[in-house]
Amino acid sequence: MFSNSRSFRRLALLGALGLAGLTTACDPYVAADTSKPTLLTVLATDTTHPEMVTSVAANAGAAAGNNIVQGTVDPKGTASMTLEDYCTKSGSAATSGDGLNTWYIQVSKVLDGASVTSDVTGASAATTCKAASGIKLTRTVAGVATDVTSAASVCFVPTSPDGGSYLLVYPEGVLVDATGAFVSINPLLPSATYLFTGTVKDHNNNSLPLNITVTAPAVSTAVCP
Amino acid sequence: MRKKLLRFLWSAPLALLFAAGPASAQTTGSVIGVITDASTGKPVAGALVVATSSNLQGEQTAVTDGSGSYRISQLPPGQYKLAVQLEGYKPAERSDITIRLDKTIRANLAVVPEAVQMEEQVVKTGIAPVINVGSAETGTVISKEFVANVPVGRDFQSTAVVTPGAQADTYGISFNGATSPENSYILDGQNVTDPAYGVLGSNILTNFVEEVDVKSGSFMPEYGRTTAGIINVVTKSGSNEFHGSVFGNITPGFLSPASKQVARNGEAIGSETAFNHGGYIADFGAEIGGPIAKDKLWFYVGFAPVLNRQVTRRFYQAAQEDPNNKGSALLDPTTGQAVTKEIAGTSKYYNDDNTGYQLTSKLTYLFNENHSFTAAFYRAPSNRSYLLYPNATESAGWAAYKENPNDLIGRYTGKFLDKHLVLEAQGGWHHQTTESDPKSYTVNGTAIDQKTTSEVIWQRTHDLQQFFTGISSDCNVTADGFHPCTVSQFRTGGFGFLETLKLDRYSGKLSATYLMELLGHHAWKAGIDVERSSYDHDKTYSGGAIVRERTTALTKSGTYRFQDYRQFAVASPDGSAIDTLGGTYALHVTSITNSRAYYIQDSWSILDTLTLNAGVRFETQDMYKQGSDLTNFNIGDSVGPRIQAIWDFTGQGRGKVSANWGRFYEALPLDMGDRSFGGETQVRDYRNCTGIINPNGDLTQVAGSPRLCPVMVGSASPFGVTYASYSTPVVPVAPDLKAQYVDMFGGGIEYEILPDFSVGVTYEGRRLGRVVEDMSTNDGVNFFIANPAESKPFLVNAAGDKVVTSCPTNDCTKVDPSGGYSTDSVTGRTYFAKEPAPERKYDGITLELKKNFSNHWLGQASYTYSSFRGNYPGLFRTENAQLDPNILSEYDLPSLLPNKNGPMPGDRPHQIKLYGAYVWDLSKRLNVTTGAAFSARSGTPINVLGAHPDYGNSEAFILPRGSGGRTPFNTQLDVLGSIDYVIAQPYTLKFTVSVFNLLNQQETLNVDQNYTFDTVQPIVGGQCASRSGASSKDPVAGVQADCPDMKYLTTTDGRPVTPNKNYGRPAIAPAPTYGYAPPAFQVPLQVRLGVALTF
Repeated sequence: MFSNSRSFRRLALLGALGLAGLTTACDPYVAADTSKPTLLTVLATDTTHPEMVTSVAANAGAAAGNNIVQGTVDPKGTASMTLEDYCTKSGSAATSGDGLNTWYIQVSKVLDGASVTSDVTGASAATTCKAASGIKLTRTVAGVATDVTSAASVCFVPTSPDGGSYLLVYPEGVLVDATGAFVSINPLLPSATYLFTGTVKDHNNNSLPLNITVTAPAVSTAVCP
Repeated sequence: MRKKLLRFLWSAPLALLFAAGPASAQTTGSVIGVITDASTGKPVAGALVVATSSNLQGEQTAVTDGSGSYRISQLPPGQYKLAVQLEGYKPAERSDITIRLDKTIRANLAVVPEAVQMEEQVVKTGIAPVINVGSAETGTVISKEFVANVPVGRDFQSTAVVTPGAQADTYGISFNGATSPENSYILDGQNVTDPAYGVLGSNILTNFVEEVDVKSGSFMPEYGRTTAGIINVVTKSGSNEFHGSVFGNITPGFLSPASKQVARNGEAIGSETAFNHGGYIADFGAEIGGPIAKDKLWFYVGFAPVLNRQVTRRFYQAAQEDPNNKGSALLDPTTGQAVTKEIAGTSKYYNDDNTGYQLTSKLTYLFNENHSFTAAFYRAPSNRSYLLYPNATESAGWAAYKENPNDLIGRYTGKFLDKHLVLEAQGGWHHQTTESDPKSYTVNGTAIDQKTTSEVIWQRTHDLQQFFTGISSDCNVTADGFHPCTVSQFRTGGFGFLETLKLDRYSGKLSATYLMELLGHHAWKAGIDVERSSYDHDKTYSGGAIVRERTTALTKSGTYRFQDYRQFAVASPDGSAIDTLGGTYALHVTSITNSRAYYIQDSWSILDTLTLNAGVRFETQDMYKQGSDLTNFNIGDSVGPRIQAIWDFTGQGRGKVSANWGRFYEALPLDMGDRSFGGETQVRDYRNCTGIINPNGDLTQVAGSPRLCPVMVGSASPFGVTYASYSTPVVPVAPDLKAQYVDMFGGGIEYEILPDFSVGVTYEGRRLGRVVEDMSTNDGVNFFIANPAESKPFLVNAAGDKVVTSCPTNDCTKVDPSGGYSTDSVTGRTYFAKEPAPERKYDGITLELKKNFSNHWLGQASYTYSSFRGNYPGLFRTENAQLDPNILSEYDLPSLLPNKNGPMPGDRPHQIKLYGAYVWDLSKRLNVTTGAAFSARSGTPINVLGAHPDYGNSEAFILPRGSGGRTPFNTQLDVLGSIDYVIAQPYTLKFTVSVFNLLNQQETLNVDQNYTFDTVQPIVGGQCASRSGASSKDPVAGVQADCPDMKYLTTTDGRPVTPNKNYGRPAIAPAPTYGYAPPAFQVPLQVRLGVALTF
């Protein structure tokens, strides 16, 4: 069959080279992200205007329409934000700072939701989520610290259009009616300082300790005067 | 001396081989070779080589040059005889030389001096070549013998699937990962690609076809306007004798077994393909060709009606309540699906009738040996009416349309300068029309005028009795609140989108081929290729708009919410008013594009064993709306170099090593001109409805129709304004726009291990280098056309419809194609959405064995292993069948850009294709043919998809592409048997039986990939443990278990998502606008019976 053995040797050699080339050209599935999670943003919103602090300057600027309040975010997990008295600031807002009762804590990658919440079905404004073991929310008013973890709602939201995921926190929980149906999100207490602590993990068991302080403004009215 | 001479003669046939192809033409082939003195082995000059064939008018001749070389070009495909005449030598000839379409074969001959006394008086007849040592082009030539003896489809497009690396997609046959609308289709040298959408414009039966040349990649610069493959077809011509046939083929449905039912989990409307209930596929016709004047003027004409009836059975079914878990559905422990009971008396069969005819005709005139002219005309009108959506009222689900493609072609060929110069000139007109032609229907006793009634899409789950009166009591809601008969994604009202298309392409080509010697043999070819295409389009939405129920339809205040989400209209600048021109904003636009190409290429035989093919193609294209002063784009810098190197490592034409690289540009179809530059603006609004919603959706008489519910005003609307405009009448184009291109590269090794039988290994790589797309950085409100990740920022005027270079009024907008600020709909946070660079990478290696037809049999076997990854599919989206070349939704929605990278829809790691046939000569008058085709292939990736609030379903990749797993591996065996009986020369009667899917495999081909119909955002980088969740008995639970993040998925308004209970289960793939939807399962066994009388 192979009368020309020299030709066949050449063929075999080139075939081997070709197979080697193909092997290197193969493109497997995208490998899992093994980076360690970092803290990107802490955002408080009443759904009409957000206030946020962020560690990524390009992520949101004044030109982009965000309210960036003073404060800092350390990617390693520490953040501090003082919510503004929105009435004082704009004089025309429909709600004041204590209405910024919905917090999104954005981290850089998808977390293991079980490290955030023990409730996988209640990630909804209509219900509450129980914080995972180890997560603690403390409210301090006039120097008196109160553990409000059990009243608060801590949910996990794995979706974010620019990557990462959120912890969705209602620090004062929600108001429900007699049937347990959602009525509204409870407002922040005026001048209260909330400390959110805990350690969350990603799917690679990388940890991110969170230590987030949010201070509510003194205004307690729901409508600006 | 004699021994040496005989050895030389024996080796001569082995030198018969393919050689450099570029000098051949798109409708013919060539033969080249060297004539040598058999006694000395030295080349002889001045020998006359004469080629004759029944497919050739007269004869074509050439005289060998000083190196003994000759070349005869412009030979129609077919069987040839070569004769050599030279004074002092005995006449020599060899027959059975097969000229293939657009290929050049090498036929070396040795002539014996008259003075030499030996047994061999003529050179032995050679065998058909199998190795193309003159080109690195990839693909397959599908001969008449192959089509006649192997079970394949009845039209030329379907036969192309035999090519290694080819597979069927929603719109045709795709090659090496590209989408089929990227192909170029050439019929008798004319581009018959649909000018608006890139799909095949004119398809014809194989009876009328002489040969199909499938080029799957790396072709030379004379070919262009494609980033995929070329299907190059030449139809039959006349001859000096009258030949023809009368034929008929039918695939009767009653010979097919029942199809597997597509069980929509718990859905009250069941449907199944019922081809065995009166369906058929049939064609019958006649063809004849012959001389009007022998060797001067030939004619060929063919005519065949084509009839196709598919059948769908639709019925109502009631889910059964679980006696042990009242209020819940009883589940089948095997399938995990709800157990249903068909409701008696509800079964109905719907015929999908597609009827038409094909007419083909050709005149071939030979002025003299050096000058010829061919004129051809094709026409293939058809009408089709069918149930497009079973999950709909008949008025909304029934579609009908008419199509009519026509082609007129004229071609001149001339040889000059002692045949060293060949000129070809061709002109043609491709014309096709399509017209929506929906019929009127009565639903619940009410006549629905499809053209004036809005279509309503009911996104949520509803009881069937909400839509139809007189539903069986089996559907009554039980005391425990169980709803036995529910439907979702149900359509009512009118048909929706209505249109009339008229497409025209005027084309002209001129080329010159010049043969010369300079450090070897050269075949230079240069040419120009111009096309002018127009797209005349009338379009409207029945009733003025398509209305869609929101998944959050029932609001806290108890009202139902709907959206006019498809509506041609113009909104006032403040969004408070709308101009729908009386409710039906019909658009009429004519868009035009001019495409010009210039190329030069050379095939340089440097040494006997080394050939270098190189060239470059330069293309330009503009596009504009007829009557407009604005040329929307004018791309003039598309330079496509191409190079091939071929080394015959055996030195005997028995093997080759080849490598190739080339850049291939797309010609943008006119869909962009029509939709982006033609004044198509959309306005969307929300409607709040209270009370009972009547599903008929009739604008004129039905109170409670969602279409009549009040529009939400101003900021109360989720849009923030009453009427939200989308897009502008003219979408601005980045000033630095460049054409989309693909780089093709590869190489191969091929070896002829036995005469006529070769084995080869080929690597093919494809890289999408640049994309043209419409983009938006504000989630689909304003658009621009650009090259993602490449175009530079530019300014547009205040209206957003025109690019400006300066802005003295300071009211312009800077558009940055690299990205823009968008709003996270979950948090309200503004973020910078970076537009990702398009990626599409295909790498495939093919092991192929080929046996040309000789010694009674032919064969072709291939195994392809490939990897196909990326984030940009091509010219259509498989997920929802959106065919909008270069204006897909891929870059419309910044919020949905993530997670698109992964295994692409055409990723099938393993493909095996086996074809073979054997002809048994039982007697001089009777022979029997047996043929078979076997294919096996991996399944395709399954995605986890969600919806976008404005764009609809299947737009969001919740998890990275392909995370759901893969559809099952599937196989199919087809067989063919035929009997040829010669009644009396030249009359032969042939009976053929082809059985497709002999083993009646009905494996799943397509599954429902919509995890939810809720609006969601992607879980960026979400990981799955095994990527097989969708293959579980309960795919929803399977994906949730395999991909733990899914348990936390919420809608954009913060609710837990409602999974689609049919996710991951077999489903008919999204249907193309025209054509047939890819089925859920393999088509059951079908038997095709054929009879033909040929003469």
